[in-house]
Amino acid sequence: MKPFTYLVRRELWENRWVWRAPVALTVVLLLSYIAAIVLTHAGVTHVHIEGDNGSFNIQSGAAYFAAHPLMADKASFVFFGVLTALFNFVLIITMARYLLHSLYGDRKDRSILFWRSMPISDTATVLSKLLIVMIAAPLATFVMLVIAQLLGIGAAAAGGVFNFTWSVGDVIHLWAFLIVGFFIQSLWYLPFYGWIMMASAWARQAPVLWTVLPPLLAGFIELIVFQTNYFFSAVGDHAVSVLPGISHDGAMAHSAQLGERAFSVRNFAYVLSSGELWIGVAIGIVFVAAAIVIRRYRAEDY
Amino acid sequence: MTTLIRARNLGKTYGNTVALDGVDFDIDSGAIVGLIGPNGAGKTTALKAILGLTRYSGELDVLGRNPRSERTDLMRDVCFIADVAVLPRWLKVANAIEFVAGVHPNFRPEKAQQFLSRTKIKPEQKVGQLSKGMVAQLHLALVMAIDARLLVLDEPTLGLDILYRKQFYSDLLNEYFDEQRTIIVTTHQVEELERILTHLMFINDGRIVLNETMDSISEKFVELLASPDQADAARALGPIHEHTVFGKHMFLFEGESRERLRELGELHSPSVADLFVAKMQEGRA
Repeated sequence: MKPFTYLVRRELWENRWVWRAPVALTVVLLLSYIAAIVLTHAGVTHVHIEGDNGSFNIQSGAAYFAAHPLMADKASFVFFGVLTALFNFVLIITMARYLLHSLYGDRKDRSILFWRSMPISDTATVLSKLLIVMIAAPLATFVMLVIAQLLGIGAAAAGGVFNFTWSVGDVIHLWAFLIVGFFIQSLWYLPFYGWIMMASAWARQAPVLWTVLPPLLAGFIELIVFQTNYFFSAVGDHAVSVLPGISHDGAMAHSAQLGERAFSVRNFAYVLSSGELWIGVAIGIVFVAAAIVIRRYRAEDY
Repeated sequence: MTTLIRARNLGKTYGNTVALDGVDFDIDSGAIVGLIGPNGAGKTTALKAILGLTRYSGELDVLGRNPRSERTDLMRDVCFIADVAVLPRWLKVANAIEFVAGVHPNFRPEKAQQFLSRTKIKPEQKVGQLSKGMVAQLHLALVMAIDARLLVLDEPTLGLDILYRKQFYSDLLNEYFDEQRTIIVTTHQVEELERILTHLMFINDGRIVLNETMDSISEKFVELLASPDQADAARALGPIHEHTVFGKHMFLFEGESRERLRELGELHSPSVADLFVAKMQEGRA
C-alpha cells in the first residue's frame, strides 16, 4: 500500500494544477467578492439583473429580500448552483487535460524507462492515475468549493446585500449532496476517463486526435451507413453531468421545489439505480484494463 | 560464483530484422560484463530482454525469475540506467529520493543523500535545472543507494564530458561494486571501461562473437608489431587481423604461442578497441 501512496504523490508533484486549479478559482472568486463589497461601499448601487426583476437598487436589496423570502431562497439557490457549475467545469477541463497526458507524457520524454526501473506494476501505475481523477481531484474541488461558498456567504453579509436564507443544516446537507455528487460523477464519467486513458496509452503522437477522431468516425459511419444516430446521442446524453442532479432529467423534478431543500442527496437514488450508470462503469473498466495492457505493450518501444 | 543470468537460444526479431539470433550466454554473479557491439548489433535488445522490457523467443532466466512474467518482482533486485536523459525534467531532487524510498524496498535514502552531498546538486533543484552530467550523477546516486544484485547500464555516460565520465565509473567502482553485485554495461567508449571489466562480450548482427573473461583475453590474444620483412612470416601464422601503422605491421593473433611470435617482433596485449575492430571485421571477411 505504501508504494501506491507514493505513486499518487508523484502524480500530484507532476500535475500540480490538479489541486492548483480549484485553488486559483477560489482566489479569483475571493477577489471578485472583495471587488463587489468595495464597489457597493463606494456607492455603486445600481445593478441590472436579467429577467423579470429588471434592475434594482442594491441598497434596497436587503429590504427586498427580507420582504420576498422566496426570492432570497432563489438567489441562494442560484449562488450555490453557479459556484458548483464553475468548480465542476474547471474540474472536468483539468481532468481531461490530465488524462490526455497521463500515459503519454512519460513516453514522450522517455522517463517511462526510469519509472519502469522501479518495482511497480503497470496496473498500479494506471490505477494511481485513475485515483487522481476519480477521488483526489474531486476531493480537492469539493474542499475549495466549500471554502468559496463560505467566503461568498461572508461577503454577502459584509456587502449588506442579503443574508442567505439557508439554515446551517441546509448548508451541511448541501455539502453531503456535493461530496456524494462528485463521487457519483466520477463513476458516471468513468467510460470517458477510461477512453481518454486508453488513447493516451496508445498514441505515439497527438493523444487528442486519438481521443476525438475514433468516436467521431464511429458516429459518422453510423449516420451514413445505417442512417441512425444512436452513438452520438448516447455519448452526448451521457456527457451531460449528473453532478447538478438539478439539471439531469428526473432529478430536476425532485429538487426544483423551492422551500424544500434544493439539493438533496435523495436525488442520487435515481442515478444509482439507473442502468446507464452501471453499463457506463462496465465499459469504463474495460477501457482502463485495455489501457494497462496497451501501456505494457507500448513500453517496448523505448 | 553462481549463475545470475542464463540465456539459451535467446532470439528477437523486429519485422524482418533479426536483432538477436538465438544466442546462448551465462553471466555469473560478481562479474562486470562489458557488452560491446556496433550500432544495431543487438546490445540494447539483449539488455531489454534481461530487464523484461521486451518479448523474446527462447529461454531466459534472470536471478531465477522469468523477466517477462515476473518483471515487477525482478525490479527489486535489478536496477538499470537506460541513458542519462530519462529522469523527468519536472522532478525535484528531494522528491526523487522520497519517491524511490517510498516504492523501493531495498533503497537507502541516506546513502543517496550522502552521495549527493559531495556534488553540486541541491535537494530543491529540479532535474530540468541540472546539467547533463549532474542528471547522470543524480541517477547514479539513486541507483547506487538501491541494494540490488544486478545493475544494467546502457550507454550511461552518453553525451557526458570526460570529467563526468571518469567520475561516473570511479564512483561506480569505489562506492558500489562488490562481490555480491553484478554489472552489465554497454558503451561506445570502450577505452574508459576496459580496466574495470572482468568479462567482455562482443555482439554483432545479433550473434555473440566473443565471450571471455578479461584474464583469458590477455592469455589468448596477442598483438604483434612486426617490421615489413617479417610480415609474410607473420601472415603465414594466420592472424585474425592486420593493419599498418607508420610502416610497421600490426597483427592480432588468437591462441598463437608467444615464443614463436616473439621472434617476429614486439608483443603487446591488444586493447579492447583493437580487439573489437578485429572481431567485427573477421565476421565480414
